[in-house]
Amino acid sequence: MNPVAPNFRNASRDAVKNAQLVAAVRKSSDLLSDLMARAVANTPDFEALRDYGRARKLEISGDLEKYVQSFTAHARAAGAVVHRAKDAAEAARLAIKIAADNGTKTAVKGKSMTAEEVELNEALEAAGITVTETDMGEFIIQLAHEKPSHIMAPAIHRSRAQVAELFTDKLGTPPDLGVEALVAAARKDLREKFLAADMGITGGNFAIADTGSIVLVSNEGNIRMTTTLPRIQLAVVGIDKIIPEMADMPKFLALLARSACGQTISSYMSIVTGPRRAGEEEGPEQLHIILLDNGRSRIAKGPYREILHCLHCGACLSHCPVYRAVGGHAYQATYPGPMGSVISPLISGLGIYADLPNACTLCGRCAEVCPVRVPLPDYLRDLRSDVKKPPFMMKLTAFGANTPSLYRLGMIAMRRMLKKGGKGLMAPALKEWTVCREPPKPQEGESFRDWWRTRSYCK
Amino acid sequence: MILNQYLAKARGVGVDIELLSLSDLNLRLAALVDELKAKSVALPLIGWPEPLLLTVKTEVEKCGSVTVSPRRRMDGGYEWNRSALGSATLGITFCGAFVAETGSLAFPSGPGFGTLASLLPETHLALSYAKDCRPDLGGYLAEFGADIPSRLTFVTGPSRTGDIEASMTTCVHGPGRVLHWIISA
Repeated sequence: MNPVAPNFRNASRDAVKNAQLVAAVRKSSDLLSDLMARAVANTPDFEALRDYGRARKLEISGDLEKYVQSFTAHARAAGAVVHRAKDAAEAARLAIKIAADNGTKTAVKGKSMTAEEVELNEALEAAGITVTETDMGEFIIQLAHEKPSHIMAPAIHRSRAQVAELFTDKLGTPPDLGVEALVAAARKDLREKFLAADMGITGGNFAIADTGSIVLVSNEGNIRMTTTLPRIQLAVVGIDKIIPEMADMPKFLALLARSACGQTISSYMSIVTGPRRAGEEEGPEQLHIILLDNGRSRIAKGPYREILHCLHCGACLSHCPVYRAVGGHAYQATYPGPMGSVISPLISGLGIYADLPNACTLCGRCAEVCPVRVPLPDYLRDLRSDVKKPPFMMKLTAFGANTPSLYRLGMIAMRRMLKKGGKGLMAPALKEWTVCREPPKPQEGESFRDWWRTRSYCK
Repeated sequence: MILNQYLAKARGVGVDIELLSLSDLNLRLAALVDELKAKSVALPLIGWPEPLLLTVKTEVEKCGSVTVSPRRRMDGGYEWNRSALGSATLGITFCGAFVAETGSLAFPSGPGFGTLASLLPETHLALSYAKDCRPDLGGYLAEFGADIPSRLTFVTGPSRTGDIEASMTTCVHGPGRVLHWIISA
């Protein structure tokens, strides 16, 4: 999405200096983590549910094409037009064609990270179609010409005062409105747009293979409007969102709703199966579903397959010490945080976003909270060596650490150097590490190796 | 037992629930219409068990409100009367299934079964019979078998957002107030 290779290090350096941003991200992340913890504590079988989620997702990602075929056949039988896009560019072309074929001029859109991935808004706007974001957070960042900073709460980085200022500037509301008044202003502005739009665009939280249904959850009601009022509906869905049966859905929903914001179920859930049927008064005349691959089939065959299991709940973001310190924008990718640092370089090829796997302390919190147990820290560690050949110093260190005699010599040299305050022959090896740290003082008295040698069980 | 589970769940997400008998309905409706000063009430005319619809329609009109049926005849069929629906203060719908596990009201689509009356007005009143409570979501979905309606909507509490500073605010796009009156047989 970014023509210049993004540089996480520089962007994060700027982000941590932005006190307002850090405070906003931390506050929201704390709240979301607390809500999740409370919901999980109230669900006695949550661990079993996570096991089920992972096992079922392994079946799906192991035979992805079968489920894509099944979903396509059932959705078509229900009257939907199913398109398949091999990459982002093809998805955008298809969307423009659907809009043009039906003479649509205005579209309302529900929050969709998949649409962000294919930069759908930019493509449709370029083709002369006005797209209005209707999720409160997306509405805010669209007014501000920003990108989402969180996959679940896209405007998490903005304060209430900033939103009030933005609304005054763009919507002409009185200055310094409170949260409720801001929401009321957005409701009024968007209601007219819902009633007038030709096209409704959504993503999809789940796609059910055995019924051809798209399941959409929302708390605001914008998804219900978007899937009910306009005459053309378009759902852009990653093929990783397919689950085998309707009977699986309540369990995945239970995992998603609890992990995303501590709910049992979101305020609204819409199960959409085909367009409006004969005799029905509402629902779109046409339902188009674009199934997006964009590298997913390739990822399913590789060593990072389980990243396709991600439910996009955002729990790994809110719990990540790096995300919490810098917010989502520093990642400069559609998907930020731990899941984003895995999926972004995989989707875009390993070159771009090569530094994202390093935006991680390997603390393991993301794996602790992931509702489908994606091994995120393992993936992030493995990706580091996949995306970047280890530097010479690291190779030398690895060789030394694997050769006991060299290791001994190295440790002696290290102690000497540290006694001199980090100066000397081996100082360049510590250069990166000491940029923002003092070199440690070596331990007083005998070394660990000397102490070990005196133990009776070593003799 | 499952009704109690439903009550706890749905009240927990902010649904305003009352258990009442059919004979109380008129009085309660009159009080609600008066409280909301509802000049117009969105009232779908299909999908109600008798005599519930007649009771509701008569009582609302007796209070001086206009009931707007969301349905109007168009060329070659019916369409929802969107502008009338949008200006209604209150939407009243029958809810033939509600789920204890999640505290949700279920609204399957079908000819005459719209969901806009439960979406566009700022207050939504759903009327149900106590016997229509279902234990869980999976069981309810299984009732449809392979015959899933084109739209199956679940409503669990009022419309809400946490998108500004994660502070929960209601009445974003849908109703800010959801009332569920459960009629004991």
